[in-house]
Amino acid sequence: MASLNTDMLAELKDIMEDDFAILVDTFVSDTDKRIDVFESSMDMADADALRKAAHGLKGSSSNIGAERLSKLSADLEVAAKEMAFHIAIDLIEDVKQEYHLVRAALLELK
Amino acid sequence: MSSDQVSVLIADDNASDRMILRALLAREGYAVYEADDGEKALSIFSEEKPDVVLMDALMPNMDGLEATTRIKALAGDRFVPVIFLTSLQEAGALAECIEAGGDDFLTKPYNQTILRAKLSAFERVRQLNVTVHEQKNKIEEFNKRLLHEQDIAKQVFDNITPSGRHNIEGIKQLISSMAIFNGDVVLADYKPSGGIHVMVGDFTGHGLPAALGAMPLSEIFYGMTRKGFSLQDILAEINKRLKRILPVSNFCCAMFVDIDTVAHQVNVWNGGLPDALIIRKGLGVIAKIKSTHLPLGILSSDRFNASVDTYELRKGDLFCMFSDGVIEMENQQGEFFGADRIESVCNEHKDLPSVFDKVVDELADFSGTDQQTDDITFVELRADTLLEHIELFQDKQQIKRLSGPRDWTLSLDLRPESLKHFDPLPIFLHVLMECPYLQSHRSRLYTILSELYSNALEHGVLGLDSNLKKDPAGFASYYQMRQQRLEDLDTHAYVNISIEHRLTGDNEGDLIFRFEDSGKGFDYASKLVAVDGKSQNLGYCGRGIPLIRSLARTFEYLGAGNIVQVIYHWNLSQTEIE
Repeated sequence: MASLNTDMLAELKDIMEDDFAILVDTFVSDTDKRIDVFESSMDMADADALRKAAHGLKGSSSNIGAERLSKLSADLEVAAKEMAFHIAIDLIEDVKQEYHLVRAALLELK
Repeated sequence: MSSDQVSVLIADDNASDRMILRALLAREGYAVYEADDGEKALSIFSEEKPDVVLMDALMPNMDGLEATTRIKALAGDRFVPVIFLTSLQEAGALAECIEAGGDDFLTKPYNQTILRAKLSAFERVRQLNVTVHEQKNKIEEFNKRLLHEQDIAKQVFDNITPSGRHNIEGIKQLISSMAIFNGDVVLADYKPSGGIHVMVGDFTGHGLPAALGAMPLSEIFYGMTRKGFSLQDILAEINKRLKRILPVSNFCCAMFVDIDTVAHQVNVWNGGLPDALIIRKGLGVIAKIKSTHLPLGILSSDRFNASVDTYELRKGDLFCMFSDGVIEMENQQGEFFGADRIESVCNEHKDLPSVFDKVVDELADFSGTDQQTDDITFVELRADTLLEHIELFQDKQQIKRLSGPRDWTLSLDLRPESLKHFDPLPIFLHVLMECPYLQSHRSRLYTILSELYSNALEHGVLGLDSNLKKDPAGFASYYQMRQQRLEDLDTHAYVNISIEHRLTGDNEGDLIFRFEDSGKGFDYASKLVAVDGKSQNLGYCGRGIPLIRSLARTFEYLGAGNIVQVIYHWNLSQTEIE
């Protein structure tokens, strides 16, 4: 699975027209904040905050064509819901790694 | 935003998702509002009233579920589709969205085709809903107006048709309508000559259409009865009017009862109502008066027949009339109340002074429900009370001022064709009643006019001998001869009537009646008889002349005996009742 669905991104670029760059910036800044929430909610063992942030990233990454990131977020959401912090801690690392790939690819498309 | 542009509210805390959705919607021509939490979604919704809401389920500050419940409540009757934006997969979570009032789902990632399809489907539903809603409001508005109009019409109708509002002792009635308006009507009024007219009418149909015909009927009934017109004249006029105004399939079943309180008899015309019953105390039902005519409003004037059946009415008798609704009243088993049941109730209580309450109780027991399928009318006339109304019609209104014409003469020369067909009394009475100072004298004046006219016509012009009327056989031949001689009237026959009025003081005056006929007169001088030590001219037999003498100040024959002059004196302090 590639980091980005290129067909979908082409369509998205077409839809957003000049706003595509803003969309990418928005996505990046939102996701940065969510990654911060992942870290802090782990520190405080706040499963609910973790679940909501993961749920949000699952949706936004799927809309931007980051399918693998969306899948990892979905797994993280499930782990949070099940209070499986030991699984969540590994998934957060996977999410962060995948996000770096996605961000780099998106910034290149801008 | 133009008014026909459909507006969409996006409630999602995810900024990038909102951007994508906004771009998709803008391409489809929608106006877009955005909220990043549930509370903002709610306040934008109340202010901007968007047509469609796209709602994320998980949001800070009030989640999508609660926001949806509140939005649906705010929308009230207006249909506002709420589509949940979700990547939720579990059935339980989706069910919660539907429970909260959600109408559909849109899953992430968004797809332009699916979004377009969903929105246009909801747009059609929404348009339909708007149309239905507009129509519902129109119907509600219309219904409100209709009820208001009916309310006003009902007041006017009740004023024109004081059905059951006459205040005549001895008449009891049950009128129960199945709608605001009643197709049944009961009218009763005193005749100026004494006696009473009672009419029961049952118009085809129910409610307003049926009730409309009651207005002219009532107007004609009261107007003509008060002016002294006969049952025949009134029925003919009502029939003529109803025939003209009612649609072809509409008519009025009716019974007209003329109670003669002097002769103790009733003249009855029944056109289409169930049999009327005469119940004699101790004997029960002694007569059933069947319908022998078509209802009113069907026949043209030349074919209309106002002939009556005459029955004796004794003190203690009851005269009962019903509308179809009584006979055809159904109980819960689907049986009809029926005419037999009424008759047996009447027979069962033949010793009571009134069967009214018994019949009403029986009707209530029988139906056992408030559901009514027809207007129901039941009228009972009590001879005991009604026959005491020999005291003539009283106009109790005190005349405060002397208004109207003061000094005048009215004369009418009736020639053969008029003598055959025309009754001049109502016209004279009408003119006399235009003088307020004479209104309380109505019944006396009517008596004088009618006696003088029948004397002039029957004894004067037609030369009939009232002695004939002394026995029943003679009575019949008298009227046969009257009819025959009227038909054979020669061209020189006339009755000349003149009435002159003059004031004799501030509050008093004389009415001078002068009747001249073409008859050969009679030798009145030879018929002078001493009464009370005074010479009086008794003239013809019968009770008419003594009655006039008792009412009038002077009474004298003139000429060859073919002229009679009567002076009637009135003054304002005089009261009618003696």
